[in-house]
Amino acid sequence: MTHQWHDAYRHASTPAHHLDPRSKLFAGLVFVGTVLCTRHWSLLQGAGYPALLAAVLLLARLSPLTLLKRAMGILPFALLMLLSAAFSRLSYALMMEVLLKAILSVFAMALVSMTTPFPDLLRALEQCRVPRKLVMFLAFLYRYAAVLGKEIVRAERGWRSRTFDRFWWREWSRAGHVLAALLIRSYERAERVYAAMLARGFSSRMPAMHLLHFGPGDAVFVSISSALLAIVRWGRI
Amino acid sequence: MADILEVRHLSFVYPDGTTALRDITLRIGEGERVAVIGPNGAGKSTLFFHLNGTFRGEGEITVQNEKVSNETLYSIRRAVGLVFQDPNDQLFMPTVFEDVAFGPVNLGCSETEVRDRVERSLRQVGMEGSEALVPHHLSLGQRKKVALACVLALEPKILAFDEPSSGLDPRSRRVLIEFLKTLPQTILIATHDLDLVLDLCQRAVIMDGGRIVYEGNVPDVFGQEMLLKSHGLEKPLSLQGR
Repeated sequence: MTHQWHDAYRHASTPAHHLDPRSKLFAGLVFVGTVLCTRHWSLLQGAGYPALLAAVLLLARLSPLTLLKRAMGILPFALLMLLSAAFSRLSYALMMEVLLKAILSVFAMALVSMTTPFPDLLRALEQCRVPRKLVMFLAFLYRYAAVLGKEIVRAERGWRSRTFDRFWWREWSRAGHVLAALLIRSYERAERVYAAMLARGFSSRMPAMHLLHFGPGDAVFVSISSALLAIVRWGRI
Repeated sequence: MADILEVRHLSFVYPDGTTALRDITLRIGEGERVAVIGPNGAGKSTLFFHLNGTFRGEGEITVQNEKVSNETLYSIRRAVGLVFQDPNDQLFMPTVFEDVAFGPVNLGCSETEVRDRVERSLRQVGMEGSEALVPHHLSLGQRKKVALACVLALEPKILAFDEPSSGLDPRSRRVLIEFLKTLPQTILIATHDLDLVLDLCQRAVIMDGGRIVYEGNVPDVFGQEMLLKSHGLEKPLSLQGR
C-alpha cells in the first residue's frame, strides 16, 4: 500500500486536465443525469454515450485499462444492482439497461476524478454551494485517509511480527484489538488537529478563498458537451 | 530586556485527573530563545498549549502586556504561533496553499494579502512552488517546513516549537537549526535534543512532574550533570567527555 492509494487523480497536461473543475463536475453530473433518465435505448444512445466517454478518455490521454482499474472499486455495486434487478423479475433488456446505466455513470465520474485533483473538486463543490461542513468533512476524510492508511500498515506489521499461530484465520479474530487501537489513536489525533485549528484562529466558521477560474475554454467545453449529449439523447437515426 | 511573555502560578489538571502543570511561573524577554527541557510527561507540550489559550488552566498568562482571556484570544493567537511535534496534526487542509492560508484567512486578511503571506512564508522556509502539493505526498522534513510556514504566515511575535528536530535526519536538523537562528521572533523550544539547545538557546528551563525545577543560562544548566541526570536528562553529546 502506498500513500497515494486513495488518490484517483492521474497527472497529465491535457485540455481535460486544465479545465475548471466546476465545468468537469457539471458535465459529468449532466451526463449521469441524462443517462439515468434515458429509457428504451436506441442504437444512437447505445453507441453515443460510450462514444462520448471514449472521446473524453482520448482528450485526457488516459488508457481504457486505467479507467477500468479505477472503476473496479465501484463496479461491484453495479453488479449488486443487477442482482437486485434479477430478483425483481425484470426483463433481460431492462436488466441490461440498468447495468449499462450504472457502468456508464461510474465511468463518467471516474473520468472526472482522474482528471481533477481532489482538492480542486472540493473547491468546486464549495463554490457550487454544497454545505461547507460537508465539504470540510470530505477534505478531512481525504487528508487523513492517507495518514490512517499508513497507521494501519504499521499496526499490521507490528501485529504480524508477533503472530506465531500457524492458522492465520484464528489470528484475524484478534484484529478487533488493532481496530480499537486505531480508533483511539484517530480520536486523539482529531483532538490535536482541532487544537491546531484553534491555534490558527479557527472559530467554527470555515474560511473560503476563490481559487478557481472559469474561462472561455470552460464555456466552450460545457456548451459542446451539452450539445453533443442533447444530440445523443434526443437525436434520431 | 522587556518581558514579552509572563506565566504566573499556572496549574492544569487534565479531565482524567492527571495533574500536568503545578504552579508554573516563567518570564520570557523579547527576542530571547529559551529551551524548555525535561523527561517525557514533564508538561512541556501542555505548557505550550496554554501560551495561546488553547488550554486554559488556573493562573495567569500575559502576552505583550495582555492577559489571556476569552476577549483577548484573537490577538493572543496572532501573537503566539505554535509549531506542533507531528506535522500531520498541523497540516489538515487538502493542499499546502490552503494550509498556509488557513491562519491568514481566519485573521480576516484580504485575498491579496493572504496570497502574499503564503508566498512569503513558503519562500522563507524554502518550500516555494509547493502550493498545489498535497501534504501527505511530502516527506517529513518538508511537512515540518510547511507546518512552520503555516505559523510564520500569521506573523507572530512569539514562536513556540514542540520537538522541532524529532524525526529529522542530521542534514535536515542542521538546516532547521540554521534557519531558526535567522528568525527575529522570541523563540521557545520544548525538546529532548540538547545539542540543539546548546546551539540555539540562551536560557534553559528544566521541567519535571509538571513543575519548573531549575532555570538558568544554557552553559550553567549543562554544567550541572547531577541535576540533569536526576531529571532524566544528560549533557549534550558535544559536551560529553569534557
